[in-house]
Amino acid sequence: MSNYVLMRLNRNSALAGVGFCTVSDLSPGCEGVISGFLNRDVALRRFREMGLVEGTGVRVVRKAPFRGAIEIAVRGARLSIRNEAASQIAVRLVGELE
Amino acid sequence: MTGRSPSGRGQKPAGDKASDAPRTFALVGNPNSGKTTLFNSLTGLRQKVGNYPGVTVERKEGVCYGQHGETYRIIDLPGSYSLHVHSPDEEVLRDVLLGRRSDTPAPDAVICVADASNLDRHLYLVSQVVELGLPTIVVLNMMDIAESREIAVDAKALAEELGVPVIPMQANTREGLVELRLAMSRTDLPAGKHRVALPGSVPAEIAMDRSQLYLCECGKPLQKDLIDPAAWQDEVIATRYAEVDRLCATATRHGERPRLSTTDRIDRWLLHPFFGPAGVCLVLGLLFYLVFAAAEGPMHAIEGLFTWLANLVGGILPAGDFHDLVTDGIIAGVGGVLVFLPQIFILFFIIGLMEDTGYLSRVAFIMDRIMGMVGLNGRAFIPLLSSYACAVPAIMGARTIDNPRDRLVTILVAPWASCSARLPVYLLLLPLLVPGKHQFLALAGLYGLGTAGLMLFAWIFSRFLGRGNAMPAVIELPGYKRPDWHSILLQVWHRVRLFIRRAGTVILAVSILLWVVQTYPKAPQLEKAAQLEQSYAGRLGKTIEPVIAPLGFDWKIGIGLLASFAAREVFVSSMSISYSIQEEDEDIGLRKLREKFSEARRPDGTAVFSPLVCLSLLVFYVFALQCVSTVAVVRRETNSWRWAGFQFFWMTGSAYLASLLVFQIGRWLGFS
Repeated sequence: MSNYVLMRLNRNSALAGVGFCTVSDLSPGCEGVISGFLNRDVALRRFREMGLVEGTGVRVVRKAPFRGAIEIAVRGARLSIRNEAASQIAVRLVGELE
Repeated sequence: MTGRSPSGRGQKPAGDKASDAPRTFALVGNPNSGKTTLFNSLTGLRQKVGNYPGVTVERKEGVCYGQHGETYRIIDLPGSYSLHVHSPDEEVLRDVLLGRRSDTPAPDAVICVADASNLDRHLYLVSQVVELGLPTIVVLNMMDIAESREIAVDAKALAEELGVPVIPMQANTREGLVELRLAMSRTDLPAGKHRVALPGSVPAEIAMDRSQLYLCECGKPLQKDLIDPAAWQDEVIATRYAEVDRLCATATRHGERPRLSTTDRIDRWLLHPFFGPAGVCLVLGLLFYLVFAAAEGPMHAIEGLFTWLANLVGGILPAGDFHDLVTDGIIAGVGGVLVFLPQIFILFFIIGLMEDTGYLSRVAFIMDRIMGMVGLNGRAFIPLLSSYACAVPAIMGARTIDNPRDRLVTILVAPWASCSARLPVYLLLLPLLVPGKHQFLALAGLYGLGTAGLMLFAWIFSRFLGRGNAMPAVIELPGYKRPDWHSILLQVWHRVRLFIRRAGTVILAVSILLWVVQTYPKAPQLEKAAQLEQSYAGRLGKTIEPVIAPLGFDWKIGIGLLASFAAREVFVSSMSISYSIQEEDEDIGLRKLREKFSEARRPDGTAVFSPLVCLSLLVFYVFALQCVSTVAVVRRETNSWRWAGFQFFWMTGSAYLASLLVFQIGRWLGFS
């Protein structure tokens, strides 16, 4: 994981210095706290409006095979998001559950 | 934008007895908040379903009686997570709420539905709505589910915070309905006093009037001197969610949460990497079977009924033009519309059942990867699959897709799937092309070709249509629940009615037109084949012969192609007339027709239906949009002839090109 994070850190210098990974990096059962979005795309505003704001806890419930949709638990609801979108949501790791 | 200024509307008191018009309530809420169930229990069958003019957004209105017998008008607005606009549905929601649509009166009050078990998300929209300053009732639906999740909701505390009545409810068992009706009767319904403190970066003009928050678009400040809303909207969202969290902390208490809910336990199997897709295949196999096979009986019954009716009426009316118009034109045309009903009914019933129980979202989750490869939404899978039975219900079924671009692409590509009406044509021509046992493989090949076309054009269209409208595909996976049969059947009933009223009239008109061109000018002394040849259709067939000759088709096939627009299988009966086949029994008739086909010669002595021509014709049928009903439904569902024309152009164009390539390359390679 650490190499991967480093690679991302180099690519996104704006967020350098903050240890982070994205929702798509989490394996099922892992939980993280949203620390930001990797781009300012208007489309990602929909995520914020569905409750994925900074400081909110996210747990990856399951991942469909072949980098398919990712089911996340957020604010007591279950959402299915695409892998590309999940890789835009930066999280701080909290720990592993289950 | 037309309409009154939002601030001017507040002058009308909530319980204005002076005006005769019934008080109008707008019903808003998140998707999956149980809003539709509540709407149905409030209004029952007193509903009007239609479209908002100019957009493809369903307009639902109903009449409801208050606890003391007063009449209220309820507008069921599209479900949304927010008043910030991302799609045409949400634009309608915002504009109706703010009184900006000239076709809909500004609501006097709002009923805002929230899922009590999911308040930390649903209160977001509630807080936006309360801020608008309209008299508001907040409904906390699904209290039973909240209870089962050990969430205690204090409606009183929430009411105090928001400053509006908050009513706990279970819409599916109608619990809390009396309290809601009592609240609706209140003449002193208060407007919300709760306001989220906006961050300092929000321009003062906007902070003054909260409705302005939803009217400015990112990248397009309202006035030149204002800052781009993109700069502060994210901050507003974060502030609002902080307030939502505070409200939740005061109004709800979470008990010990069960580690695994029932939904989790079911999802373990239904979303299992192996059993999940297997389950989807099973369910869809069943759906396909029902739409394809189980609808056959009722469809035959409807056809039989109309044949009987035509004979009955034909016996009463004196022979002549009017007799033929009524029996062959009108009655046959009405039958041609109603014959779709069994399929539409079955498809919508099953989709409704899957949607209501929550399984549809799971199918979308499982299929999302595959559909994403061609640029489509996971939800497009079911309409596209059912399109192999018939494109008409499939196109109507695309309404379950919430993303407007994905919905449009799904509608545009659905008719490429080989529908059941193409099957008789395939079965007629395949034996002339492939002898013996390999017909099955060839048939599979035709279905594969159609599927390839569908996927190719889905990929192309999703790349080039409305790229600016890309929304991340977020699918909510709601908890499983028992189906609400009343709601499902009501939904099916509205679809069926819409189909008959809107698409049916166009289909009927064109069927009559097609009958006219095949019948007139009349030449009673000639036999059927010669009569068809000298009819307008026959003349048209000869006129288009130069166009279709490069594909290897003669004018008789041209007539068949034109007649196919009523329904593709009409090709068979039209060719039977052209080749003077009179046979009651279908199978024998088909065989005789095939014999005639293989004997048919052009003036220069070459075969009309050579294997190459058959292949070219089959390819044409795989791709071409020869279906009036589809065009009529697409026109209705997209609200414009433009998209219907676009689709017709692309499908028929691709069919022409593919057939041209097959025939010309085949000839060049020395086949005949």
